[in-house]
Amino acid sequence: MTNNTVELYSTKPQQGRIGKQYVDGVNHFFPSAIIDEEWQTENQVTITVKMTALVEVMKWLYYDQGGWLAVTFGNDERSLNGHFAVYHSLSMEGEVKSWVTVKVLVDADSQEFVSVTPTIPAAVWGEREVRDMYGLHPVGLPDERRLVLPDDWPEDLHPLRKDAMDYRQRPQPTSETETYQFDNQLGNDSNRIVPVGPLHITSDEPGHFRLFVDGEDIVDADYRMFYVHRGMEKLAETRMGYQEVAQLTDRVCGICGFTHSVGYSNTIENALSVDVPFRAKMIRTVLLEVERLHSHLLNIGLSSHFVGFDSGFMQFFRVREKTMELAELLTGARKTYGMNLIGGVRRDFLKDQRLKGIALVREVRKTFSELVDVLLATPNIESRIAGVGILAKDIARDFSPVGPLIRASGFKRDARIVHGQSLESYGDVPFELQSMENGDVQSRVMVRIGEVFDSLNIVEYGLDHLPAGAILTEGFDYVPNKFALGFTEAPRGENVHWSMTGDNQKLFRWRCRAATYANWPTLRYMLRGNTVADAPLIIGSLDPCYSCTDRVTIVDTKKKRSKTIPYKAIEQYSINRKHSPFKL
Amino acid sequence: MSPLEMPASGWIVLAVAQAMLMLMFAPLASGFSRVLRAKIHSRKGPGILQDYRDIAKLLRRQSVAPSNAGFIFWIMPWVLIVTMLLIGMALPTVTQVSPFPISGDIITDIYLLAIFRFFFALAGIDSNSMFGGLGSSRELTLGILVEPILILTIVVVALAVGTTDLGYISHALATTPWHQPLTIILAGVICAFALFIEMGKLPFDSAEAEQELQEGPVTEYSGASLAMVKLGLGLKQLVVAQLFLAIFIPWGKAASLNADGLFAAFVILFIKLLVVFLIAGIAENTMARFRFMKIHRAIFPAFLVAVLALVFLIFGW
Amino acid sequence: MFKLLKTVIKTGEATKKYPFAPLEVCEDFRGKPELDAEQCLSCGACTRACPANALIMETDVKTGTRRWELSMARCIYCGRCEEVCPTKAITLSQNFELAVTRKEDLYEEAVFSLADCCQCGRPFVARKLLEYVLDTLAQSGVTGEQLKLRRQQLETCPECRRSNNMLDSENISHLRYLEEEL
Repeated sequence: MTNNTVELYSTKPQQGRIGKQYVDGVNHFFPSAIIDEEWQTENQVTITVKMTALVEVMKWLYYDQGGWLAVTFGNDERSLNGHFAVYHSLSMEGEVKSWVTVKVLVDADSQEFVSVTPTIPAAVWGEREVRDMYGLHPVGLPDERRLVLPDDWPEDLHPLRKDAMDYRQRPQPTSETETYQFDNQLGNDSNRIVPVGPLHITSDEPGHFRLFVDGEDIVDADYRMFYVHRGMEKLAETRMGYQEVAQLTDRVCGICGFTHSVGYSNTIENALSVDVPFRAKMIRTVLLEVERLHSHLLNIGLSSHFVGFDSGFMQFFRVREKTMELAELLTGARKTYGMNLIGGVRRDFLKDQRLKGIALVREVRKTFSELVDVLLATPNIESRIAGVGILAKDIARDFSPVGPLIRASGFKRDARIVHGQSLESYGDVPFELQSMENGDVQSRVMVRIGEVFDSLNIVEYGLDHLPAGAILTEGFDYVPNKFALGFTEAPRGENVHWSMTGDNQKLFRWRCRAATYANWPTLRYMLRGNTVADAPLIIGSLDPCYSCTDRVTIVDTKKKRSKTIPYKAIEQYSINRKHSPFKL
Repeated sequence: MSPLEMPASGWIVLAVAQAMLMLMFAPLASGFSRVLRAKIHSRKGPGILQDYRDIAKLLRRQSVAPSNAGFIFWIMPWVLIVTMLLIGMALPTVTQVSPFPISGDIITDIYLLAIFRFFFALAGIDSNSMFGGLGSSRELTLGILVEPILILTIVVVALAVGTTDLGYISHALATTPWHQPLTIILAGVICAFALFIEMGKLPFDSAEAEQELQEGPVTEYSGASLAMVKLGLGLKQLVVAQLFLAIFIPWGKAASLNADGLFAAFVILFIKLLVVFLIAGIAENTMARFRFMKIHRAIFPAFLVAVLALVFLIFGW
Repeated sequence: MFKLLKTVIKTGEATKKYPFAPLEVCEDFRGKPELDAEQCLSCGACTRACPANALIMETDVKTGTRRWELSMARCIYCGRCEEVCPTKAITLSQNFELAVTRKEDLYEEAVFSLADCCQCGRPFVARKLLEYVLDTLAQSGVTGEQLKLRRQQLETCPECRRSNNMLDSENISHLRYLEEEL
């Protein structure tokens, strides 16, 4: 590429400071709270505040200014400034849409920081993870259990510290007992628990749910995840260069991998102010939507399956097969697209691919519309999914869930629209935000159906109107210790990445927050008050990366007995409505 | 012939042959259901003969049981098959009268079906597995909901015709004009619904989509016992379908034991069964399932219509 | 219910007969990497770019060979090797049926013989690259004595060249720039 094409077909970095009023507001209401202010892009700012003012500033930004907590994470910056750091990234969605990251420096000796969870419940998982990974103690955090590390991990070994351990090290198991405490907030807890273990021969992915029931009604639920924590963040810091991490991020998720890849590439591109050519942006947009298609079709098929309508499940998967073909046509593989490099994409769409792609999209649209009619006309569907698994608005506001989950509860949160101008080519393609009011399973399914149609439109538009020009910007320099956020709207919601470049051709820190991470904490509230047979349906409507739950422990609070049952049993019950596994 | 006499040897041979044929063709019927299901899923399906291959493979495997399972666990597969065969022997499938009327009384048949269900549920409890026990309780609940309907409709027909012997009922409905057509038709519709549930199709339990064949009692079986259980369940579907056909669609059967008549009746029976399984297959695959807690709301109206049939009977319509 | 049946009848059978019939994949499908050893220069660019450490390039000084090895167990079919290869020696085929019964079958290797440095005798470059460069020079008109000199120059390893440059007192005037300043 010559310099001419770069100039012609890329955006110039603008000098505006979108979101400045939030910083000014913080300065006004909380004078001398801000120690430092640094702008990464035109709409991303990081303010370092004093520990004493953290909770107040966060509360003001979150509740009063329409902010939503995107990600909370830690960083070992002792080699940079002698401290640890804790970052809270907020997506400001009030009048002005921008990103504000609030950073606090944690003293390397005391290793304590103030927890914002009592004020903003959404931060609970992030802070628990900081505690596990860095050993920093959040003062005031109500939930002191380990999140990520297994029960038998040695006490003082914190993996993400720079000096802690080599990524290849595997500590010896120290004990067999499970010490994780499950808490029952609404019921009473004089029950005996019989754990079976998260490895179950029939499950796809391990995870553990614990439902506290009273007969058939769910009183409360608790869960435990992170059985397949792979240590990707440590891997990205130690073993891979920048371009290789783009390939690694493709494999974070089995359904939304490309969104992670784009999110990560965006962080480096934002941090280094690299201009991505227009054509590359549109290619990325098209592929993001192709991924959304296959994911939503999978979820709608699964919802049919949980309701017992297997024919619908099979037919939706038949349509989904066409979207996988589309992905293969455009990128060379059905799932791991591997298209991203820092600065653009590596493969172009040739004319043949574009024409075939558009034909496929039209076919999918036609078949999908027919199937949606069939699904909605199926008897009993409505009685199974309406009014089930409601996510109340106040819970939603507290926990910052993302994706169709929150759009179905009446909030208009979609990173493609809210932050669309700074996210690939979403500012240029025609689509609308799908949202519904009721917050039940049916609303979520309807939101997803609407989004499928939108995605089909975007893909068709993108393939038709691909801007001319280069697909990759090369020749920029990597500057150490620059950081920024990158975000995309994955099928499940917003994926947020943050990375800081290092001084050795590698990343200093990379944080990847998948959408489901933000959605899990709301699950227990959605399960309360529903019958146990609906539990798989509700979990499915949350759309975890397919069957992330393995086994469920049913605790009957009245009879004071509990039993652990494989997830498959509950799924069967949800489908067949016969042979309930919940008789204790 | 009078119901309590031992029939002539030709009839006994026919009865046994009939039962054996049903046993042999039960996997074909369930194979047909599987292929139909696959076609509605737009895929090829495993082939009609797949259940034979499954059973052959299972027979070669070792049969294991949970450690505290008792003898009920072991005899359940036998009970399933024997009760169904007994009903099978008595059904007037190709002849107008029942070939083995000793076990051909309607009341006997209903009790045989009940024994089937009882042992099925008992084995689930005996297997000491959580799936098993819970499946049993649900099976029994369903029994409570469905059996009254079945009994009522069949008794209505029996009263209308004047006898409880299946053969006589079938013969009467086939040869003489119906005195109370509305009653019989209404009873027929409701009996079809009840028998559809008895076929085990409403809770959608084929071997394609789920890992277990049927939840509950079947989980703990393996090897030859599992093969027999599968066979027994398939046989029940076939027998129940033929029960319906024998009572309510009794035309096209041979009047006596001659080869041509039997052959023609056999062909007609085959076609009738094909239609029944086709309709049942389409119905089970095109609907979502009811909530169990609300399933009684779906079944109870059927019971009320059965009572209505009784009312019609009393009024002589 | 009837809409479903209508859809089903219209669709027919949606499944493909694979594995009983071959499966068609798209043209650009990223399958197994295939090396054309004739084209390969053993430059190692693919090894550098591979995110999964599936490619190895090892020099064996004793035997004077360089070995390229691909591990199908680690390969993630991303295609970076194909992108960075200067001679299009490694390309991704459409082959995706890669299951093997022995672990050894997962590894492919190519061995290139190296040319020795005319000064120190250590092997340092693939012989065929050296010959290729010299052939190109010969083609473009360099002949005779010139070609011999070039051959001698090219056939020295980087270390020897460095020391030659440093110790070549005839051609270096370390005072040149100092004189200008002065």
